[in-house]
Amino acid sequence: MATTIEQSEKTIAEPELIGLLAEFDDPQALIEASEKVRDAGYRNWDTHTPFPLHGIDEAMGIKFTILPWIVAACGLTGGTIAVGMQYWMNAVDYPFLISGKPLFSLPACIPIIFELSVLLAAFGAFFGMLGLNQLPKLYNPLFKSDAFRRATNDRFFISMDAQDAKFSEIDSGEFLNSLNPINVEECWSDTSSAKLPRNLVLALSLVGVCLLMPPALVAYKRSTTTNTPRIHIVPDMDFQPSLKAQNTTNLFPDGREVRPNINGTIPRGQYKDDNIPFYYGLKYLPEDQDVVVIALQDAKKADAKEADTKKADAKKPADAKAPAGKPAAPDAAAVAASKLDKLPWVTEFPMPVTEKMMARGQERFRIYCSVCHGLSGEGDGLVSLRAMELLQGTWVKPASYHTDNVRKLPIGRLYHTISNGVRKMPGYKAQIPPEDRWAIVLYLRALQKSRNTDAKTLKPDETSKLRDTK
Amino acid sequence: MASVTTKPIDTTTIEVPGKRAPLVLGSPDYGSVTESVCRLAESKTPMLFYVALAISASLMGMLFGLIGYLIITGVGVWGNRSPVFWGWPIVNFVFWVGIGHAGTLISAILFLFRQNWRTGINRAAEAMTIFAVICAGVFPGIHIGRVWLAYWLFPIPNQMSMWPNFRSPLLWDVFAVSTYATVSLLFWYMGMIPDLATLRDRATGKIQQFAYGLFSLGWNGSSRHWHRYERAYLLLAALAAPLVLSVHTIVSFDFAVSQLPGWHTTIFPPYFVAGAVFSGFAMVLTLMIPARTICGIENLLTDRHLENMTKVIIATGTMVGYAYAMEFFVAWYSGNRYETFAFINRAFGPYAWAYWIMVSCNVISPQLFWIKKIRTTPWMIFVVCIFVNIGMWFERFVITVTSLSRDFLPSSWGYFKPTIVDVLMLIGSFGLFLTLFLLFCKFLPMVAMAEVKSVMPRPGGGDDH
Amino acid sequence: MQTSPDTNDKVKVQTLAELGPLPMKMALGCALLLPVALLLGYTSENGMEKFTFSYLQSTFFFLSISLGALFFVMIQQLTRAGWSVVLRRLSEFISMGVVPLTVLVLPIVVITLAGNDILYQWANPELVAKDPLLPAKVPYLNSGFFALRYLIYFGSWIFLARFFLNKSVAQDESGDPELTLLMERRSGPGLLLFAFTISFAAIDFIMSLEPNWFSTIFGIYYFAAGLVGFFSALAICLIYLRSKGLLQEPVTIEHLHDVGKLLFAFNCFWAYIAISQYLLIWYANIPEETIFFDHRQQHGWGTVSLILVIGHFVIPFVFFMSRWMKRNPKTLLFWAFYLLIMNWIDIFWLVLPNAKSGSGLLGVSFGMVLVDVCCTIGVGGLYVAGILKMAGNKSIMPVRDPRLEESLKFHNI
Repeated sequence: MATTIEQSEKTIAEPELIGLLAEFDDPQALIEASEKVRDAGYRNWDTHTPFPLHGIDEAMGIKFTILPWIVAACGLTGGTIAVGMQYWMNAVDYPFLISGKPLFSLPACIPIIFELSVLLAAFGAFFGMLGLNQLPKLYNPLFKSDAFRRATNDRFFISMDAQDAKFSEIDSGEFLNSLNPINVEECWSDTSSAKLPRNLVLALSLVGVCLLMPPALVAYKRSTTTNTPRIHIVPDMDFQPSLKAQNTTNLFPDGREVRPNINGTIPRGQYKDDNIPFYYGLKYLPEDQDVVVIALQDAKKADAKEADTKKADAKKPADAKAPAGKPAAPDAAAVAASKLDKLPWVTEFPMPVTEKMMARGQERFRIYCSVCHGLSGEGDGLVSLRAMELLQGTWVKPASYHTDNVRKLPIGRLYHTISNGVRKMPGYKAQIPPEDRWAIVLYLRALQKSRNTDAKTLKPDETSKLRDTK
Repeated sequence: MASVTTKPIDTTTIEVPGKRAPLVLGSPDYGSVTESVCRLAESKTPMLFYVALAISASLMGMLFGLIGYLIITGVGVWGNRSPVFWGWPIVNFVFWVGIGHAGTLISAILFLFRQNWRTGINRAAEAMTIFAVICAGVFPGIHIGRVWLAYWLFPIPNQMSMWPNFRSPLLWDVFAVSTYATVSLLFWYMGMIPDLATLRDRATGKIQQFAYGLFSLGWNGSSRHWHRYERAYLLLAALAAPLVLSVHTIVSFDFAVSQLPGWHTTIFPPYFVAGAVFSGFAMVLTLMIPARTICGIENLLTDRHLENMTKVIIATGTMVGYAYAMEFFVAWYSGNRYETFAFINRAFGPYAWAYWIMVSCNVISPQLFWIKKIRTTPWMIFVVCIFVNIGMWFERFVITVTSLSRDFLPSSWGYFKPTIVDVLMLIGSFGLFLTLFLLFCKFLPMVAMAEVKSVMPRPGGGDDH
Repeated sequence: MQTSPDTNDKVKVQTLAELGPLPMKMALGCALLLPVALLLGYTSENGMEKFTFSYLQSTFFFLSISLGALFFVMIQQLTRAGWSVVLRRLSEFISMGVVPLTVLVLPIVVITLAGNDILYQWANPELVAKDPLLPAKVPYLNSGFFALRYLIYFGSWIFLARFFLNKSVAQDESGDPELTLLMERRSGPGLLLFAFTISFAAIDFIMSLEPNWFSTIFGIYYFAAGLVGFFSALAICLIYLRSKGLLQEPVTIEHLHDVGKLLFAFNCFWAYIAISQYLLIWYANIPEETIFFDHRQQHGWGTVSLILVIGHFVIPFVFFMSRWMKRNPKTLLFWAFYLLIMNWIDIFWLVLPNAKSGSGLLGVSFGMVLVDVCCTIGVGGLYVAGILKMAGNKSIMPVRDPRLEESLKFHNI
């Protein structure tokens, strides 16, 4: 099966005979000779022709190659990869909806399935062939023979490996001569050093080092951080002349790129005065509109004062639960609170109340509110619990909804609280649209009712459910 | 380069039923075949070569310069505007991909049909395929605008965590043309390994020995190797044959899967493939007719080879004409007024000039090959083939631009004008193509020596088994 | 090289008459199933629709085979093929099937001329008037022009088939190589005529069953189907004849291998055309076009479509890749039969879904298949009988073709 003559591992001082080479100039003669060699029982031998000789396969007894199976396997692999890839990438990992076609559309997948099958099958054919032939194999002792140069031109050769069991220097030589070649040549092993020439080693090392530099650079950059901004090799749209919020400019006298609202205009979607109850939770805006503003400002001031008192208190041993709504300086906060109490809050929802609204309210409450207030509204949300665990001096536990104080508050007031905040709680009107705030208020009421219902008003199945619940 | 041999008398085009015309003239032996081909790489380069190379290299340089200009400035330097968003770049792409198909057809399909005459031309034709695909690949590569993001086209993880849209024919194109380029390259290279070994064994200079030695991978003509090699060749041919059909089919899908009148018609796939083979063979002939005279290989590339190729041209040209007729008929038969209008518009609208160039070059000029005299006279073949290539470029132009410039809504209609960048890039692409081809002719074996030797009659008679 | 009559002892002159009277008797026996099919149609619900459409399907199934044969003959002449000479005469015989088919297709033309719209809606002026699009198509889709075109198509095919057969048979006597050159010269224009006639025949007889639908590739689709049918039929005929002692030496396993390869290749070509048509229509999703496939997805037709995809392409693809399969007459015979049946299903799938009852399209049913199978066997009997009659005492091999020697020595890769 050897296709080249193997050189022995040891470097010997004197050359060894590694094989014989018989030269022919007629392809037919080669075929006849090959049949004789095959019949004589030799195994480690080969013929060399400048082109594939029809009939030599049978004459030499060459068995059919397994290459077609390799190609078939590679093709099948390619097809499978194509199907899997398209399915996973376009229908699972990042689903693409293209003109209403199914996420995994077999007709549209066919072109790529075909192409990938062919590509991998072609790789199988090419690399399989090279692999089975054990190519590239740049060194071959046969190349030492000058006559052998014509093997790729117009001469035909039989090469016989000395490793063959039937080989004997004299008999095989005579045998080959009996086949009427032009010439029989002996092939000797190469006694020159098998080490690579120094220049080549240096050159290869240099190339190797150069090749290692880019990945090393990449690895370095990916594992370190930097304080300098990145280099924009291709600027793309990274630097734009458009104005940005925090920049300065000399386009405007005030030097700011962010512009205030223009006097006498209301931005779209911000005109609220046509539906006061909906937007403010008030039945109407009081004559002295400032009341609302002042009330807000006062509330904020009260909070600030309260924060200072709390800081002072923190020096003393503090309770785990800081009392809510009982500031050290009751005056400012109480005054603000009472101002707010006097405002005409709505007591009925300014829209029809539906199941859907309740569900929405529950969902939004859980998203925005439950982190502090807890799922049941007792003020035992995770943030609150954690803050108290950390003995945060500035933390005020959120008021439980299930106290008479809060139960008494009109829904407009609750709406206002959500919008603008109270004490430590910030206002959420920037995050939650008005409809959702009302939905949250609705849910709030439901929560309150859940703790404040006379059992007699319950239906029997509800009662039994309560009994069964732990 | 003066021919070493005087041109042999070529009677190969006279058909005698029962006798096959010789594939190689002058009853040569294997050695002279080797000499004819290797001489080109081994002897001193003539001045003509340098002149030709200078011209084509400067055109190529112009192309690269313009590509740089395009990438820095933007796609607006082309004529692509609403409503014609696909202009010359796509036309050029389809044109070049089509030309590439002839090489693979000659290599693979003619091989499967046991047409031994292909051995004279298949090496050069495959090389032409590779170079044509390179020229083709340039245009989609640069037309995407943000060329540095071209890697988004491939299914590799990217910073957007997105994958390509496999349902788009433009992506099928990416896979098809990449596969085609790769497989053609493998096929071409594999075919060259034995011939590179021949050059290695004859090389005298150190650089030549090293280069040919490296790339011939140590090939030594072993019959055991040839056995697997032959099998691999057959398998690659069997793979490349449907592949080449599929590539231009998928290119046709770019147009045909749309809903545009004039684009959306089921005959596009075979019609495009026939057109590709048509233009490809014309290009092969355009290159080989001068090449065989200049390089002195007229004994390997006989008049018979040329005539056979002209017959392929007339066959595929007629198929293209058939497709035109069928489209035209069904446009009327369908009763779809947009479809009908699209075809009337092509013939009589603002692009009528392009349409009639296309028809005269594609349908009428190849019909000249019915006449024996024309198909056996090389310079006449050359002229007709030039017209065929012009016609095929215009066909892609007519298809792409007329349907876009006038589609469903008259208020959206617009006339497309190319810019100077469009025009010069097309010319530059020819420069790229010719530069690569000239380099190939100089350094690589232009004719598949081993294959020619395997099909020529054995010197001194003997069983042609 | 010419073989003079006194030195060709290798080349026996054999004729189909050596098979005896049995084949003709069997063919005529099968023909009896045609009136059986008619009776079945007469007596069952929507039976006349089923019968008429089955009749169209059967005639055009065999027509596609004969046309495939005609194409093969002309292409072999055009390309100066050497390997196929031994089986070219058989193909010429098969191509002569267009003669009996001219007669068999005549009833379809006649009933259309009479204005009967059981097949073609456009044959009925009232239906045409009611349809928004059909009136514009009347210059083409009218029964008079339809009949004229029928004459042109079949006339051309008979002319071509007879030309190539007669010249080839003449060469049996004279051995004149000029005849080969003549046939080669005529094959080019012949193929051109063939291309247009087969395309328009497919459009006229099959595509216009659904007159508001259109596809530019339809002619090629029918052509591809015909080639699959022809190569299957050729393989079956060759293997059968060889088993009876005819063509046993001239036609070797090498030729059968090649026929198998061509069958494989053209089956893939058919699949390619089919997927082109389907993919483009599916992708653009225009209702005017998708109606064709929509009809073939409902009422049981979806199963038939799936059978075609998997049975006509996927399964044969796997098995036809094997070199061994194609070089073994038994396996090749099996797969040739298999593909012939698949081809029949393909034409069935093309034609029958257009059969309508009063209330809409007919679904696939056992009754429909039964009528169609009887009809096919019936028409087939007449078709084969016609061919046998015309083949008569002619040699089944072109014994003095200049390229015969090359064909006899042919070895595959």
